[in-house]
Amino acid sequence: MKREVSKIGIFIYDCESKLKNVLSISEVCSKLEGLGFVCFESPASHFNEAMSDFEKYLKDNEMLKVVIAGCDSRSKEQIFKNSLKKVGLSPYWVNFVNLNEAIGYKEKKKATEKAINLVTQAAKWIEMQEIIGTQKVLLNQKVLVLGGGIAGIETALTLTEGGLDVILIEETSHLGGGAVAVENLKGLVKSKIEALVNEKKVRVINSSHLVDLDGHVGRFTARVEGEQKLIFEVGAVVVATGNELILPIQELDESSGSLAIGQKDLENRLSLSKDVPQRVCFLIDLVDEDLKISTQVLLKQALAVKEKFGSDVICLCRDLKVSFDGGEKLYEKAQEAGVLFFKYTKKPKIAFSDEIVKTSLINEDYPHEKLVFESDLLVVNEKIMPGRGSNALAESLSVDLDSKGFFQSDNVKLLPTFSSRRGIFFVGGCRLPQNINETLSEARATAAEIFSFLSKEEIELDLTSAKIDSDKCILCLTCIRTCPHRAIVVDQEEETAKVIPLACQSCGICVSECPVVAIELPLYTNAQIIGQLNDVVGEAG
Amino acid sequence: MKRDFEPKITAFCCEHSGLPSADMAVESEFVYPEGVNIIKIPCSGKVEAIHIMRALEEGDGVAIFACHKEACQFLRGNLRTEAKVTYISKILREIGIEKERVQMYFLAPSNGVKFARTLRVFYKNLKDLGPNAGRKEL
Ligand code: SF4
Ligand code: SF4
Repeated sequence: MKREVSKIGIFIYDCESKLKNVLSISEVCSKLEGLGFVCFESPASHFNEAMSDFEKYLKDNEMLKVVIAGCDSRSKEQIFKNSLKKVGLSPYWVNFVNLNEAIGYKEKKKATEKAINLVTQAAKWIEMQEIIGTQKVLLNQKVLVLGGGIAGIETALTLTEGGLDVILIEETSHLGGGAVAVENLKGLVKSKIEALVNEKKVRVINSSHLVDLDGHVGRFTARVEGEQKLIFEVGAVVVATGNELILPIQELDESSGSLAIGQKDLENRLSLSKDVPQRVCFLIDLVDEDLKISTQVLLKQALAVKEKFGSDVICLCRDLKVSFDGGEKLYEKAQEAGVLFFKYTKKPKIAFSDEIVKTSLINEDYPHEKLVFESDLLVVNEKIMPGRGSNALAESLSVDLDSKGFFQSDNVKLLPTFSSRRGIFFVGGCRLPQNINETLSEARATAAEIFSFLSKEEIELDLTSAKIDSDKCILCLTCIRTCPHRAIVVDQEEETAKVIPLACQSCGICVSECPVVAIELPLYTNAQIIGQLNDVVGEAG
Repeated sequence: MKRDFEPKITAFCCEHSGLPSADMAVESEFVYPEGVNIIKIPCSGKVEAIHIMRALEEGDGVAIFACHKEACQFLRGNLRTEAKVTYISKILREIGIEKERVQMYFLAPSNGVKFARTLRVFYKNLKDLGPNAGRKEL
């Protein structure tokens, strides 16, 4: 390989003399100059001054690639990259070194050596960095939304605000989803449905479901079946299929009638000002013990029943979770109003007879004693289940479900509605049980995210994705199986596996799995990584 | 040389948890041993057996910092690496190198304290083990 080190510039800056005290920057510089690099030591002591120094440095020197070494350079990467862009340098031909790594060294000589080592490694890495090509890709600007509940409707409406066309598929014959059954949400849902059906950019198809999804982000082909079979080309897919509520009581039978209801039913009764009987027993935490929301609803409802109807209210719970806003106060208020709380660890027994519910549990304070409560109404927190058909849907989308059967987000640290496949999103209750406000904001955030990449018909994509050498590939399909983002397909004609650049997230997993080393990640080549290993010994060993 | 043996450690740090933790460690001056060579990788799943073996030729120990098991940015990349590490420890045993020289650690994105502490412990263990017999220049 022909070395053109003179075209690699090294820019070193200090922050408030942090580095100067522990190592000799000029020594680092002279050593690197000795290796043939062009080194510049910024005299600035603040980041902003260093930045303007850097811009001047770029103007004065004709550089191809740059190494920036400082005491916080990685966090400042974007700022540096922006000024590189201004002078027309590739953002991929820059490497950052955090010289802080050398600060911990006790001796100045060793710290300096470490710094030399770090900068040299970075320079060698960038020296090996090949040019990153680009590719024009066409994007389909339509979005497919699955589910006509509040999450789907809100996403669709926000997407149209951004000017995108939406196809909304609903399984049942009507829009609204679970929220129509909630009294105090009815108004909101109704107005949203109205807005949706009046929106020309949205096509609503009822009584239908997705059977198959092909392709990748920007270019999905979706097959939908229902009253008719339809095929759509879309750029992104939003799953908003919601969840289902069931009462987690095995003892329920014909005779139990409406003696046992869910928290949601009670909510409806309360908002319709329907009567509530004299003795009410709340039983929560039978399932989903990690959800705060059931305690929150419990306290609110128990207090409301007590205050409005003067009923005897008993609350049985495994664990009261009052860590939500105002929770502690609400609990105290309920106690003062005369609501009784009992703790259980072993699941209480429930029996229905003659319009009465009997709930019995072990007295936690006197374990040999049994407590039996009779009531006219039993209120339990519903178990939130993944929507029916989630399994089949996950399969047609090639995405994962979590251990409870909900759609699994890719990375909760980023936008939580990202799925493992680029271009597919999970919004609302199908991903996580949540309240209406969370759902609405999640829907809007997702629509904004979709808009940010589908707003143009054509984009220029940097090819940082994994590359497969078709001469080496033996089509063993390992990479296709292991790619967590379904970014690899078989190219029948060329008889090779092929990466779809738009879908690839450059994680490198396929690279390390391919048995014949046919795959390379352009920004992390094998040579680059191994080069880093050699350097350690080469310089400081 | 043996007298004051200073273990050389290669630390593969995934960009999503290891690297930010390393940055945080140095920023907050949580001291970790000298002679640690940090190598950034996009995901711990990118580490190949050959990288680990080569690193062992050049040093005394290899640490791989990955995201917590359920929180891998790239879903299961970390689990694949864990399987790889198990596989490597078998090879190491066969060629007579202590398998303790290769360790995998799970980290949250900005856990500088744990990063530094882990490396200190690893360093001490390596010091007790003594120089790596498989190292090239020895
Ligand atoms: S780097 Fe490989 S495994 Fe990772 S997303 Fe791209 S193609 Fe899939
Ligand atoms: S793992 Fe390698 S050889 Fe196998 S299909 Fe993928 S690229 Fe081809």
